[in-house]
Amino acid sequence: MDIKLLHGILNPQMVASDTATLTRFSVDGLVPEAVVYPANLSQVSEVIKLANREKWAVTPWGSGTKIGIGGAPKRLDLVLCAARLDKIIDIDVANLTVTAQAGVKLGDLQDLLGGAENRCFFPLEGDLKSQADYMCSARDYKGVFLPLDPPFPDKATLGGIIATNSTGPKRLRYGMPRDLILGVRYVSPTGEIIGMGGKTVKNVSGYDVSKIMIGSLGTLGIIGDITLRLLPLPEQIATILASFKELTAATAFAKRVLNSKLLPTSLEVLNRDGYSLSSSSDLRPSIGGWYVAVGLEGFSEEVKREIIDLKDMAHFEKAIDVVELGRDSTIVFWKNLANCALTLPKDGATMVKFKAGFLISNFPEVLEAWTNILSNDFCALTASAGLGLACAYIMVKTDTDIESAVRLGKAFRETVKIYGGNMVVEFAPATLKQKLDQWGSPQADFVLMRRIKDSVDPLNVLNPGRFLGGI
Amino acid sequence: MNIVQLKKLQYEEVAKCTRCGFCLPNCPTYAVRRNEASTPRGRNAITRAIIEGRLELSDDLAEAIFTCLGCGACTKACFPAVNTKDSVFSDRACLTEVHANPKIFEKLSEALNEYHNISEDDNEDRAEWQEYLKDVPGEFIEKDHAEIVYFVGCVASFFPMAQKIPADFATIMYHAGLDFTILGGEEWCCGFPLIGAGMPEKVAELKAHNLEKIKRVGAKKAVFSCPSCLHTWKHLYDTDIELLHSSQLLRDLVGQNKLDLKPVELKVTYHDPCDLGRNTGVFEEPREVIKSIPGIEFVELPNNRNMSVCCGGGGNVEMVAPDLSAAIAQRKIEEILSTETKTVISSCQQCLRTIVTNARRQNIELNAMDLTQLVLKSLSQK
Amino acid sequence: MEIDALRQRLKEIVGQDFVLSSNVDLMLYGYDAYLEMRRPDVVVIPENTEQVSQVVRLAYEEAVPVTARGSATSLSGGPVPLKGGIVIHFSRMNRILEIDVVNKRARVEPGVITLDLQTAVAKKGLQYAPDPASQKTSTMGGNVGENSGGPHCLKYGVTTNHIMGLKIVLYDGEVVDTGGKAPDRPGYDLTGLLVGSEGTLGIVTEITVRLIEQPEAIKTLLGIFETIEDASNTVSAIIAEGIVPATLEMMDRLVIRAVEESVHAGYPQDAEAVLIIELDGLKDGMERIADRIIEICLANKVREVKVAKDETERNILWTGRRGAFGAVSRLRPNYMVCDGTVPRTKLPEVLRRVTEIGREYNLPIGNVFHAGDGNLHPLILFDCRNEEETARVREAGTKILRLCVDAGGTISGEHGIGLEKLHEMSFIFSPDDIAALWKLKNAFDPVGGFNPGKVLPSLAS
Repeated sequence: MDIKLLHGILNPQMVASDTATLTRFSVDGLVPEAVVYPANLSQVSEVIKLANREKWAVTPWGSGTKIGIGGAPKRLDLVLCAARLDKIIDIDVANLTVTAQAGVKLGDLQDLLGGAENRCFFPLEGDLKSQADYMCSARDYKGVFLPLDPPFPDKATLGGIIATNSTGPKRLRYGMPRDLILGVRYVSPTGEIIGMGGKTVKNVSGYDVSKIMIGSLGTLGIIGDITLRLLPLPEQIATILASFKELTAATAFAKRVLNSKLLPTSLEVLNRDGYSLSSSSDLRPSIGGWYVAVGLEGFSEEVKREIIDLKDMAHFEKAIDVVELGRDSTIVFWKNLANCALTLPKDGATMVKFKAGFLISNFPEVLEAWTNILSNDFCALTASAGLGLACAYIMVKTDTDIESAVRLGKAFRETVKIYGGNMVVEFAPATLKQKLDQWGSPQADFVLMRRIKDSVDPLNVLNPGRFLGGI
Repeated sequence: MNIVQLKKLQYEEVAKCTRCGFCLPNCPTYAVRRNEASTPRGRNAITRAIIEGRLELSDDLAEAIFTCLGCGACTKACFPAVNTKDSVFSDRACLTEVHANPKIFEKLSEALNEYHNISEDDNEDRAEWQEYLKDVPGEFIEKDHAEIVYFVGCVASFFPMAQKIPADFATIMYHAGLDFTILGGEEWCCGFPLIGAGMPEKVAELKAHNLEKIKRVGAKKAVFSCPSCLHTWKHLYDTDIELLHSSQLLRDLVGQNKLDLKPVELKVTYHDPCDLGRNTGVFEEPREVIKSIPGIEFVELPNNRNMSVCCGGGGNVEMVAPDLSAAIAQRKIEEILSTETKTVISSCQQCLRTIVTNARRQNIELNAMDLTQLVLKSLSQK
Repeated sequence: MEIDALRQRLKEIVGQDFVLSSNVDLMLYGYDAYLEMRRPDVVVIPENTEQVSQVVRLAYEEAVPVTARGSATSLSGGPVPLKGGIVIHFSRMNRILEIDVVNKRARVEPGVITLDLQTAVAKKGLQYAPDPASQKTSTMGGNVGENSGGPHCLKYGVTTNHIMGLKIVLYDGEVVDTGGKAPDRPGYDLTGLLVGSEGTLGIVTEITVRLIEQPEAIKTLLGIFETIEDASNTVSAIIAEGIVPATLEMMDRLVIRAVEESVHAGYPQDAEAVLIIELDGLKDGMERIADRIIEICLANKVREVKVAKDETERNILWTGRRGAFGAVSRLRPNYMVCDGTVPRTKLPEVLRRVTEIGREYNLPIGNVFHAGDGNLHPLILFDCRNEEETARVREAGTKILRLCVDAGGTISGEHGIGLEKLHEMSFIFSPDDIAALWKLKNAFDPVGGFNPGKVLPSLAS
């Protein structure tokens, strides 16, 4: 690679080619020849156009929390890091939207949004000042938030979250990136700056391109900035934790919650190791094999009533212990769970994460089957009961560990298939990825995905080989 | 009718159609045929295209235009309330003018001209139903002068399946002490079938005859057991005498305690005939009569009153597309059965005839009764 | 292939009775609820996916365009066969294939009427949330094609947020499934791209939707206002307050009057604007939030706030809202509805300028719209038989869309681009953007056979 070509379009501090940096930005053991840090979309566009001319393979990079997702790259010449694309363009509290660049970290954004004053709309008539005063002072709470709670909420970038369709337990109530995204500006694989959508909450003008950008792992474009829906911060938050002796009791409780009129924000069923990820000591120790965590957010009356009902339901299903977490413990509990992949690995071990989606109704069967085929010492299982999602976290250190993890992954995948689902490998060392397909086999609609990729990225510049079916 | 007249009469009406499609789920013909030509929106579009010279009057149009039931359900579902039925009937008149109408209607017209009834029987046989009378002396039925004329209608006069209805109604009126008569052989068809056949101008002679006869009797009221006769009289006959449906008369008798109603243990539902309900506005009277009978358990049809679905017997569709008419009747029967009743009450001989004929054809156990029959049943209980 | 031979081949596929080609039929399949009309060469009414696949394959072999059609309630010309060819009418593919209560999913054919699905799932305590005003006649296939909205989309999201998977027939007749009942299938979100693509990417023959629990409680309020500004300020204020109701719908005086004449929904005829505000969810706290909304209304000079006492009163309020488009045609035979959408904070200003445009062009404009979403629907009333007036209406419509775009909004919130707003696409998309959309179109439909002439303006223009 001729680095000078990059210097022709970016100033020197935006291009790195020292060994330390390059090693840090290696993907599945493949080391790039340069890393660039463009500061705006025009620069991204220039870089991508250059990459097309030079037939370089480019991998986009946010903060690297999810770089383990996807297959090992077929080629890697350049990493495009979004670190400098870190501007928050517009927070429109009254319209409940935010527009920010891809490199903005979710944690930073949430902090800002949480403290955001309620900037009022501007009335047409009347005493503008007094009306505005009225609107703001009448609220007894303030702030808004982006209702996304993916893993690593502090470090993860917006671009990375969108590109990997990363979601967390709160998806039960608030949906996923596809439900929140209103607009996106991105640089196409051939270098054009493309803008779709905007600040309106409804939009059917043209194709809904943002949908295929979500979860496309940077294979269809480099996300530049994103407009998302916000929600007012909930008046009250709480969590109900319950422990059960048997899986059947835990799942019976979860089903009871799902079939009620209650509107929990999250509903996670955890095994003992899964519960340990939260580092919570709220439940009396060692008394149950299975745990259920129910997140609650809303108006204070709603949360109060939900707590009462949930306790009743848990006791009805013979919970061993039921506790209620207040605001602060709630925040800590869910944050620990979200960050577990960073905090947990010890003694040089690496975390392997399998993530499966299947029919909601089958979550008890999936959990039971997975439990029965567990072989590793440590295996944390977490299942979003109302969504049909389950994750398994295991530790690998030696070759034997990896062999065993591969067997486990294959067995998990087979199980999930029975329940109409699929499993992906979200985090794993490159050696494991060689033995276990990250995505599973594509289906008949893959023909369309291939055609889309070929149509927008004819030279296969963006992230070659990392996506489903080798895209 | 020619296109100039059609434009004058119907252009503003069909121009109100914004093609929103809200009428589609309400049209029984669309439910069966599943094509645009069988929608009120489509029929309005045809009328408009004829007026604007985009469609020629030809046999091509007959299928869409002559399969409208004239039930009027579309207009009730239509926010600008486009009167599709009248536009379609005007289209039929235009098609008739250029001889693009179904030939069967020419025969109908000839028959009415010759026999003055729709069944090509000797019109003197109109009183045949009197054979069903048991304890009513003939002189109470045919008088020279009376306060009320009972206009029996062709279906009840000539179709064996319906002939009990006038007999029962006459019996009720006799026992209630009413002064009434029929016109017998001097009753001519009211002309209703000619409107659906696209020959409105041919109604004139029938109308003049009937008005003349009723005047001679000196009646203050005319009562009809056929909603379509009533509807025709109300809209096309210019007369000062009071026009009533049998259900309205029965309701009055119930109100005046002139009927000794005795318990009938029966679960029934009620089918609103299009020409009585939606098109004349008589919904509550038949219900009040039914509910006044002790022992009756009454359930509404899922689609009732203004939303009542045609039985398939409207708009002369039976004559040009018997399969369509039968399929619509079948849906009506299914709707009735969905209420878990075995008895449907109506107040229209044509509806009853359509429902019963199709139920029998399918071997479906369903009892269909006219309101008058139900009342007489109640009166006759011990 | 000669047209007669094509019709014959189609008859072999779907049966004699379900191929229409008379002069009348071709006229009848040339329109929707928009103004333009075109004639197809032939209409087919298939019964299953296999037949659709064969029809599309034949069309591909013979290079004939294919346009899908449901109840043709589209307001932007979506099902109008611009380049002739075959129209596929889905009226017979109207079966609800499965209601999976445990997984909260339903599978339906595209010809299923939206309300029929809603009624069927309601019997099982569930709901399908999107509720376009035309729900009693619109089809699910049409909803998917246009990504339909509706009043309750303020809280629950539009059609796309509720579609889990599709069965589609590709340009060459191949049939594939996208998405499915289970979440997060790896790969591109093809379902998300197909929803709202107006039949230009593929023909949908089966739809898997997400169902949700019916809310425990519902509260419906009617705010009656003396000026439209007060009403739109109230909308912005409720959202800014951090309350996201299930619906926030507005109607102005002209529409109120037309609706009252039509259905007697109980809207006061002398009011300048009414707001229908509906809350749903848990019953706990709902009273307090409703009181808070009433306070906001009062602060914005509401004349009166009525609360629907029961389901009947609630239904009457909604019947009026749903029939509003139709009702205005009591005043003039035609209306053009501008589906422009703006950030919610811009609502008061944009509404005022819409009124000015009405005055400027001397055209009556009524407003009935999803205020909480910022989705305007100015209804410009006219008579399309008057060509001069129609031309003025088109100009005013374009100006209103321009206004929405200038306010940071877009040209269509829920009715689609169709052939109506092709020209206005350049207001919001650069040539590069349009080219990017074409690349997607070409990936799905390299021969350009599906609903040609819709959504995407040609690259040259």
